[in-house]
Amino acid sequence: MKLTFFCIFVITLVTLSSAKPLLGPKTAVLLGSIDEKHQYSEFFDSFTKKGYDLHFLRADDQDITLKKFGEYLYDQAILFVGKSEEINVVDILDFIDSGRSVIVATSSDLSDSVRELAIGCGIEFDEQGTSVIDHFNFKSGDKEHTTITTSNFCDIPSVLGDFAQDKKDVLFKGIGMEFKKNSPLNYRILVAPSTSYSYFVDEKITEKPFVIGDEITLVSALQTRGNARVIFSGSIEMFSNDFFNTNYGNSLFCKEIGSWAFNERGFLRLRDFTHHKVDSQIKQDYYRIKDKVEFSVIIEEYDLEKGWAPYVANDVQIEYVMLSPFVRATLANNPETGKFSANLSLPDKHGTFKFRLQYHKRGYKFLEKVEEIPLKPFWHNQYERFIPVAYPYYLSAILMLVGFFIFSIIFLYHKDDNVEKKNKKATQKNNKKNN
Amino acid sequence: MTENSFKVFKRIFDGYKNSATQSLKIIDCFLLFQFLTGIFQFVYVFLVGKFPFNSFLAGFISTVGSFVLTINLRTLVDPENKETKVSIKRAFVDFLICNVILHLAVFNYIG
Repeated sequence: MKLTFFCIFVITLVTLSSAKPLLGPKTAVLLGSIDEKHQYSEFFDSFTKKGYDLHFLRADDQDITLKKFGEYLYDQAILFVGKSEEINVVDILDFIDSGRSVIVATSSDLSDSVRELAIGCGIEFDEQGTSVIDHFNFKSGDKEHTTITTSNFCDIPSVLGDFAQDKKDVLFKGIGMEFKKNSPLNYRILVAPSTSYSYFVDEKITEKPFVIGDEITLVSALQTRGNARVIFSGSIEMFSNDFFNTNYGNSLFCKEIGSWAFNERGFLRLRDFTHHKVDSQIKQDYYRIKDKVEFSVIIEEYDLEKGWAPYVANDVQIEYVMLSPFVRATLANNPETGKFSANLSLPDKHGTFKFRLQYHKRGYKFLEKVEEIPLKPFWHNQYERFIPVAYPYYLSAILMLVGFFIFSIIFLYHKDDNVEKKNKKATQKNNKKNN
Repeated sequence: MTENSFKVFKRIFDGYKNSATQSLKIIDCFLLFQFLTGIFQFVYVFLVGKFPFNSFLAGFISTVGSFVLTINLRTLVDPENKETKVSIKRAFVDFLICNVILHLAVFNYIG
């Protein structure tokens, strides 16, 4: 009796305290061969501790499918394909399009299918066989100068997480990428030092290398419009136990970018998108020009332990748009409830307007919400009745009437002495003539 | 120079005083009043701006319209007018009706 009670207690404790990965725990890990998983055991263990369920598969295996009968079998994927394994590019791009995240790590021996996958995500790897070489920043003891150290990190706090406070140099041994500058969805996470270049190791350099200096991206990320996060790393050894067990920052860096990739940070959702006139709580289906409207929304961020927690930021904006924004206001944040609110003064022009919230912050999920509502002009009796500026005009019109009234009284009833005198004189003259 | 201009003005003014009947002088006072009110409104809109433009127009037209009607009354009432022979009563009733119509329009537009 006591034992069963104890068992139930332990089980409930375990389920309550276990963290929940956002999309689901099932993670496919594709490796060159299953034995390799021991080389990266520290990296994989960090995920297993957080509640992920790793399924180790051979990348070359033709039978593996990520999708069966239209349903995805896995929620995340890790691809460690550094030994020319061929992968099914179409399947993986489809997996990414569905909103599921992937971490891809490769090496100088990457296969053409991995290059194709990267091009499909906006990244171009260098040719097979090349490495990133640096004759100034390499690990001591390395004769070929291909194990380089770098400290050029991106400045996106959401991606780096705890690593941002504790930055150390990171070891890298592998192939470099070229990053297309116009790509709005891609971010460069780790960049090579300015003294490096990417070329074949033993060959003499006869032509300009594919990328040199800080154009070489070592680790890059893509956040698709469907909010899938893909990390591309040119070095699979960066994740290995050998590199983790050094004094360099590989351990914390790889774990932090992995946790960002799997939506443990920066995954937002919004709810309660409401607007109403400032004094009343009634939701109207139209507004009138020059109204004052209060707008509010609740934004939450997913935290692995706490679940959905209120999001704290001071750069969320709401726009009131008809083809282009007429009003834009920064929302004030309440950190306890995660409620963002602002008062808007609606413009003078009537038409069909939209409340639009667009939040594209680097490292965070894209938030977009639009609600269309008409803006009606004044009714004819809602205009101002007596305008103080126009009082002189009212006064002058009234004065004209009053003046006219007084004038007509005087005009009609005055006694014209001159005329009477003239008449008298004329009659007198006539009388004299007659007489 | 100025002495001469003074003499000229005085002569015009004396000629006016002698020749005009009292009704004409009353009409001329009213005309001056309307003219000044019109000028005042024009200066006001120049300073303050055109915001309730309809109010400005209505007020201005009430002064200008009344001015025109009063001049009309003056030409008909003037004894030296030889072309139109209309009795004072007829002239005055015309003046009255036209003013009523004008101010009807003005008060509707001043709004």
